[in-house]
Amino acid sequence: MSTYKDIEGNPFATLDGYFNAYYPNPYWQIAHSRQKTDRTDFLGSLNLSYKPIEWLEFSNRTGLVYNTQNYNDYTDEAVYSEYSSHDPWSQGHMGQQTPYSGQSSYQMNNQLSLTNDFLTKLSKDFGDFSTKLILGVSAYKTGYNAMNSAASALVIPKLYNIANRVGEPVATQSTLERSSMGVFADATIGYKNFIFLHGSARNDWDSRLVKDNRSFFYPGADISAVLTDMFPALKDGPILSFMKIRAGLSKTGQISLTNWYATVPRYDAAPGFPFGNTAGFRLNTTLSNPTLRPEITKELEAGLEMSFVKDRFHFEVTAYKSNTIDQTIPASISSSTGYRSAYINAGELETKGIETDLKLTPLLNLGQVNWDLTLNYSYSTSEVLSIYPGLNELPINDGTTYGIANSASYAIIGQQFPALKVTDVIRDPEGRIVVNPVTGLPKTAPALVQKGHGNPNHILGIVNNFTWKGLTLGIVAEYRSGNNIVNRVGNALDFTGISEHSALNGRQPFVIPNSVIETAPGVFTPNTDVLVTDAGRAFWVNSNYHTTDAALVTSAAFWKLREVSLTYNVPVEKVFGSTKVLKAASLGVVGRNLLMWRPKTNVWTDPEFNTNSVTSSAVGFTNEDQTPPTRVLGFRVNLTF
Amino acid sequence: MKKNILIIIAGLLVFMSSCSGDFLNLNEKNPNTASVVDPALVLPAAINQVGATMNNPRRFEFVYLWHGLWSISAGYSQPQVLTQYKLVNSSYQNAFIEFYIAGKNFDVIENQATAPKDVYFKAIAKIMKAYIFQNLVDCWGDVPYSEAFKTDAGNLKPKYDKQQDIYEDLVVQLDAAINMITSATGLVSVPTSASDIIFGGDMVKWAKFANTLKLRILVHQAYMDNRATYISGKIATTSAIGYLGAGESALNNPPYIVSSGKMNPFYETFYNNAGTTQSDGITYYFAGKFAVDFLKNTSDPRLGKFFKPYSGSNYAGNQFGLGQDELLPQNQCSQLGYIKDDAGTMIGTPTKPAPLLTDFESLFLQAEAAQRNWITGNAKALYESAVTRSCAYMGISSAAAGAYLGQFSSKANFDNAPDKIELILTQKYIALNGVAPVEIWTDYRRSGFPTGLVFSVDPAKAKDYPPVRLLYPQDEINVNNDNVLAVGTIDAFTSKIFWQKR
Repeated sequence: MSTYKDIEGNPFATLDGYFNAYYPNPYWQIAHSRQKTDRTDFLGSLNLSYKPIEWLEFSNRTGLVYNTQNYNDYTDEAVYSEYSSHDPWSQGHMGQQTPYSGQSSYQMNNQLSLTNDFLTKLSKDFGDFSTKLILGVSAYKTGYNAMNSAASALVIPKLYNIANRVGEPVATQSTLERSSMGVFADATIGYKNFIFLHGSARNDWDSRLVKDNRSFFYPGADISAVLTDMFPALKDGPILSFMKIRAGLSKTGQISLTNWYATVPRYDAAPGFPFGNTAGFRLNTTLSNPTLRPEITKELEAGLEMSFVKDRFHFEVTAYKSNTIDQTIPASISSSTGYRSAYINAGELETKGIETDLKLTPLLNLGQVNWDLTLNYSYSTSEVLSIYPGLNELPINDGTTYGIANSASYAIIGQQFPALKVTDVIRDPEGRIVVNPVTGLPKTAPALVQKGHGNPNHILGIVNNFTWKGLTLGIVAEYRSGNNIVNRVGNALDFTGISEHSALNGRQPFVIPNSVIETAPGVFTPNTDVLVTDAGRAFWVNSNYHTTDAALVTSAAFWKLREVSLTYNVPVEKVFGSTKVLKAASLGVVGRNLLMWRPKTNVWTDPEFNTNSVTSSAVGFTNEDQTPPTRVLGFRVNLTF
Repeated sequence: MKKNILIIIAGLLVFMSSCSGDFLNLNEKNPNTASVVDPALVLPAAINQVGATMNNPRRFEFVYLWHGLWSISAGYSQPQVLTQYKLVNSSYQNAFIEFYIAGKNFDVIENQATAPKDVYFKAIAKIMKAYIFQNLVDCWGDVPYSEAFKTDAGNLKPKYDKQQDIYEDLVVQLDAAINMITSATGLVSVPTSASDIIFGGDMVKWAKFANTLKLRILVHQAYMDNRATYISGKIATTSAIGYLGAGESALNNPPYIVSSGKMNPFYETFYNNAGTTQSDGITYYFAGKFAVDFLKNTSDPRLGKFFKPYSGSNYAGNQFGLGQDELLPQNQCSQLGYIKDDAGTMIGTPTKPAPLLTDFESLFLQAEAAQRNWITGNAKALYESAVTRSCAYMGISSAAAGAYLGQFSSKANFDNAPDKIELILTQKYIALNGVAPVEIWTDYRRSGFPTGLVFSVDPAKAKDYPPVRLLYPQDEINVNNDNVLAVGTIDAFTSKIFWQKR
């Protein structure tokens, strides 16, 4: 790639000469297409506290965050020669080069957020009882303003000013505000420091919901007991050294609306408007909903902690079940409603699982060699219990289009979340691909098919620490399984002809493996001799095999060697004498994401790196636009003075 | 001191609770957008959406490509979705979505304009909704109609109505709209030209437009068995209104201006606001063989407006479906017609109003109806003025049009044509090139004219004729599946629209 760096001198790196008909040379983009942001932050806080008597404290914290950003986004004009924008001899597909004018947009925005928390803390011991009570009031308000102006056709090259243009400028403005308030109480009563009873209650108000729905109350309570302190006899034996049990029940509410005005119908200036003196407005295509409610999560949790043999073995187990109702999502709806999507409170999701943790400190101790081992295993599963009256399933609209076929993450009643539904070719009842008796090619199935879900059920982690004299070797490995991944990146690899699959048959016509021919309605005979008409572009680019995604779904399981680190603690005194300046020093090397084992079927990529891993809960898809998996190798020096 | 601080704290609490009412009312009104808008401001946006959909060449490119009018140039891979007729659900679904989004806005106008003085807005909204649903039925057959746009009643999954029921109700709705216009009394507010971007508030023309649309809907059913009584009966009820005549085209005219995103959508597919080519459009669509040959064989004066000579005065079109190495190279094939600043060319100018229903289409419809004895009028005179108006639309003089019509060829000369309906529909097909793709498709499907179309010559094509309908959008299958399934199995080649009897 680096040979394409010389975008002026290298004829294969220029706009005209670069080989890709879809994207310009990335080095050209570095030189001619930039986004620049200047950001200034101002943070302030004021804390006041007052303790009139020993067991009573008042405190107030006021915080302020102000930031301002100037953002410029420009692209220089791209002009293609007649040669590259036309293709008179039809020798290639160069005609896809689209010339465009220079463009520039400039945005200025600022945001001011204010918070205030007022707390009253009371704590007093009464004999064997200890009590603690916190009462609080909090308030939050934020306001955001933005002005954006843009020119879509610059005149003088490389002058990025809106005045330097032909055509009309684009000018937009937005002002957003929201606020919330909360009052809460939190009380803890302890008995002899081995039983603790804790309760909390909170009421929140949020401006993003309409008056009738904006107030929501949520309490919680839990209890914990250190059994080995309650019944000291338990510790008498040589085995058990510590035992604690706990249980809790809680409810939490939250508002996760990124559109702060989702309850209000909204008309926007329609595309293209105003045309001179003609103004025109149209309804926003996301349906507003004044009945939106907060999301409520109820959680039940119980846990046990035990240590054995003078804390050498430590064991923890937690079981939980949580039910979230009324999640607020912009869901795709039928466009025949006049809208593309709607904000709705979407049903109930139940998540349950168990988390276990076993620490062996040490597992092995041979004089100077010490091996600590931590194993943790968690199992989690989820079930969509309900969605919206009349809906059995709902695609999760996260703003990403997975190609034309619209495979998507779904919430489906009775299934784990997110369920993966993908386009598929028509199959017989046994799941074999039905092909055309003449062309050997499959047909697209009319409905999406479900292919598992995107949530890993099993996560097993192993953390090893070996020490020998000043050397520490850390090895972290992890296994995940239970979920699937739609490797849409494979679609792009097939399209460009660089995938393993597309070369399997030496690019010669082949019989689609495990395919059948429908000889009479409902009668399927294995296809042994009907070859696909063309094993080139016709199959790998244009066939329904390529335009559907089912063949790209694999298990997302993996074993990974997440991290190996080797650290040497320099014996400072021995090496440097007692300088009193340098107190400690260590040198280390670390490697992350070093090895990975995947199922044989996943010939594509690391399933952990998927399109939505950062921005959305709707995981399970990869594509060619995402960041590729990375391996990190590092070197570390720590000096303490 | 202690007391003072307690007082301050108590004061703070009182302050916070007292102002909480206003403090939390920030989101009841969006400071950036309106939540209710006057119908006069919604109307131009909704009309323009329809104009943009109907005049975006990509929305209905398949009609031009299959019917010999256009081709995809040799520089591009020939999409097998089209060359082999392998439509998928997502193919051409944007028009479906855009129609319903525009339809919702007309529906809002219709429901909001309840005051007697707003009756014109209500009538216009009804007419435009009928226009939208006529196109939806012609492309997709059964579609949501009676339950569409009912989100206020909580309906997020509208059921699909029978196509013939929709079609028949459209006639009822158009009659109602015509009646609203003709019987409006008292102080009725007339839309201004900034609101009614088609006729500038000329309600006589709106009534004629409604009546022409009604004629279009009825004439579409011409080939159905035992339908003539229904058709002629419905035509008769509003015959006094008349139809869009010469110079009365329904054109979408916001007005377009020379700026990116604000130009005529057809033009903007090919050229940008600096007047230079949008490569993707201009090098993609080239002339089709059937149309070029037809125009050449009949010495049609419109040839140079429909298409651009590839050199000198040489014209050629490509047969759709040929392999890339078999196609005429780009320098031996005509592009779509373009002469800078000549609004008569197919690509036109950035500010050319975009057609919704042209006067010449109205005249062709009347010619067909007269030939079938459904309206009074001279079919020949109507036919000849239709061709003359088509020529005028392309900047060709009526003298040249007259010479063209007077030539011997039975492909232009009414008297020499053995089958008058064939002549009318074949000339209509030529005239609507680049103007009204859905009508070209509908006319072909119902009548089989023009004869001799080759469609695609791709040997791997799925059938020997192209699809007779579009498939339901993938989104509908994903989020309105029960109702789509209730329609029954849809096959692109055999699930004909109800008016198709061939």
